[in-house]
Amino acid sequence: MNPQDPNVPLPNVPLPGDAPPVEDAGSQALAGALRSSFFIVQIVMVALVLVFVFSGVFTVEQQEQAIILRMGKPVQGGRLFGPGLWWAWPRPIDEVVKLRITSLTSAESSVGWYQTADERAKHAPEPPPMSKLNPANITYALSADTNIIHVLASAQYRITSPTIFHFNFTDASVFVTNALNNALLQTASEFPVDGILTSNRAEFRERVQQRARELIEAERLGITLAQVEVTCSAPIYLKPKFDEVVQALVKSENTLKQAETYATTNVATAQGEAATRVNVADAARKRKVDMMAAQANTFSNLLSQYERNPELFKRIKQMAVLENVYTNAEQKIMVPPNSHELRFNLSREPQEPVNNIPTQP
Amino acid sequence: MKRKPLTLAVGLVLLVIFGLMLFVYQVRLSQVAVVTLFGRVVHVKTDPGPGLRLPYPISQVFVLDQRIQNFQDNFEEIKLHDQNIVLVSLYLGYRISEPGVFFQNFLNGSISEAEDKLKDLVRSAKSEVVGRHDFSDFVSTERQQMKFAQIETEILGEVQKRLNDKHYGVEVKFLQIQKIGLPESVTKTVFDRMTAERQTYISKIQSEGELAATKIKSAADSTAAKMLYDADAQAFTIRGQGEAQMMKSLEVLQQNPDLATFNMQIAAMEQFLKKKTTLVLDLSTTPLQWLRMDQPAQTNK
Repeated sequence: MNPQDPNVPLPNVPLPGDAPPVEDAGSQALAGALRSSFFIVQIVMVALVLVFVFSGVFTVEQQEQAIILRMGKPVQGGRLFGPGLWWAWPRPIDEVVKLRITSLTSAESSVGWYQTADERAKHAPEPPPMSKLNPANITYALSADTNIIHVLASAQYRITSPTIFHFNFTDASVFVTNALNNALLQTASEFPVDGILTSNRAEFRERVQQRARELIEAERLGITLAQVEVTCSAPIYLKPKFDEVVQALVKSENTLKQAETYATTNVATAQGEAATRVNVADAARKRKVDMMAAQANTFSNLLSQYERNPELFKRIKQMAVLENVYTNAEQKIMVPPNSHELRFNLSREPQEPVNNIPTQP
Repeated sequence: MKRKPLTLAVGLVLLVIFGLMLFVYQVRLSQVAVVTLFGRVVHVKTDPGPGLRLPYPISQVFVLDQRIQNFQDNFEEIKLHDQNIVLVSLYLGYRISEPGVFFQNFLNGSISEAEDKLKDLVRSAKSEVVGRHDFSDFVSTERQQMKFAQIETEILGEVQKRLNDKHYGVEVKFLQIQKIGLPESVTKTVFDRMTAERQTYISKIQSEGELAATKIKSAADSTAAKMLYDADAQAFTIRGQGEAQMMKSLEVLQQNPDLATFNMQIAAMEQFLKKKTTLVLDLSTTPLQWLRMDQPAQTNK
């Protein structure tokens, strides 16, 4: 008996789908069970194929972009798939790499400040003032005049080329942080401490931003630096002294402002006084000249009359004046005829008593 | 017999999958694969995509990350050329430039083993380069003297040179000074100096402020005094001009000085007795004598 011959059934093991020429009840039941099992296996296989195919469906969220690697190689020349529903061959054929794209990503420097990023995030209290700093615990920057200063930079950047950002660096955000660190240290070493804290604050911030931008552009991180904010602080131990300097500056400014106010007022008063003096002189000049001119004019008019009879002229003028004087007099006192003595009570201002003169006992 | 094609198809698919697993490997974007044959590197695949291999253990594929790796150096003291001491820490980015060489130098292309070597190498290069410089090369008020960037370039050059000498298959892409500091004992001295400087600065601000204020006030006083002096001079000139103008009228009066004097006296008298005048008169005063009918008129008194 040839076991390969399909017409010859194996003892007790009928092949599924092949009806044995001679069947007993047991064989029929086994054949039925095998047929059912094989059908289920088929269903499962189809289901698995469907699951396999549909497992390639993926969604890209609003803040994401995706790149599909087929056997490791970017498809369609590295096309970026935006938000929506997409399909790719399931692993291991395709691999979907989702790239996080936020509108703006934040980064902070990790050296130069007296608190770590965690402490700042938890709003931890400032460390106590210390007369010396262990650089392993508290970091700082050195200014151009060899002083110690605390500086902190925070930046926001936009990922403009996600492929470069994610596939050129193991962690490009670390580079951003270190670019800020380096920019702070190098720029601080070019500015004196007072320039960083007060007079050249804007220029310092500008230089930090410029330096960080140069570093990032040189390494082509695939990002654009949007904004860099810089915070500066004197060492905690010396803060009172630095505050005293600020107070002295404010006081000095006030003194200068007061002096300027005094100067402005004084000069303005003098200007007014000078103008008054000139005006008074001019008015006096005018008055005198006009008076003299009027007298000359009157003189010319009266000269011919005077020359005809000087005595009469004088008497007439005298009488005219006396008329006015008598008329305008406030009081007129007539002396009684034949009186030998005349007494007047002239009202005078009372004299003020002199207190500082010691009185004789 | 009628189900044989399906069985064959399934079997074929399984065979293909199994075959792919045995004979095909893939290199992802940003990765590189080193293929060995009995432990010996026979091929390095640098471009992404599928590649062929012989099955394990005949051939093995080691995938390495070819992206730029971050590396941070220890923060440690270095003695400078001018005998000062600073603490410097570096940050650098490196990548595997020769995957085959890298793989042979470090067990199975281990990054951590490579970084151990890199750490020693960077440390010695940093000490050598930084030790050649003075403290003023790091911080200086004269920007021309600053060598901060130059020091970074020198260290990078030295590190790369040593890497090339060792032939590790690693390339440093950039290097930056990440942290700089002073020994703890020196910070105390710096704080003392800063305190003294602050005090000097406060005194300077106060004295300069007062000096400037005094200067402003003095200048204002001087300007005011000069204005008044100039005004007085101008007033004097104006009065003089008035006197000169009056002289023209005086020439007219010269025709008859007696009349001129009389006119002025009369005018002055009238002006003088214009207001609040108390007159004490007797009947002999002109023209009151006319009130006395018993006596002839007398001349005015």
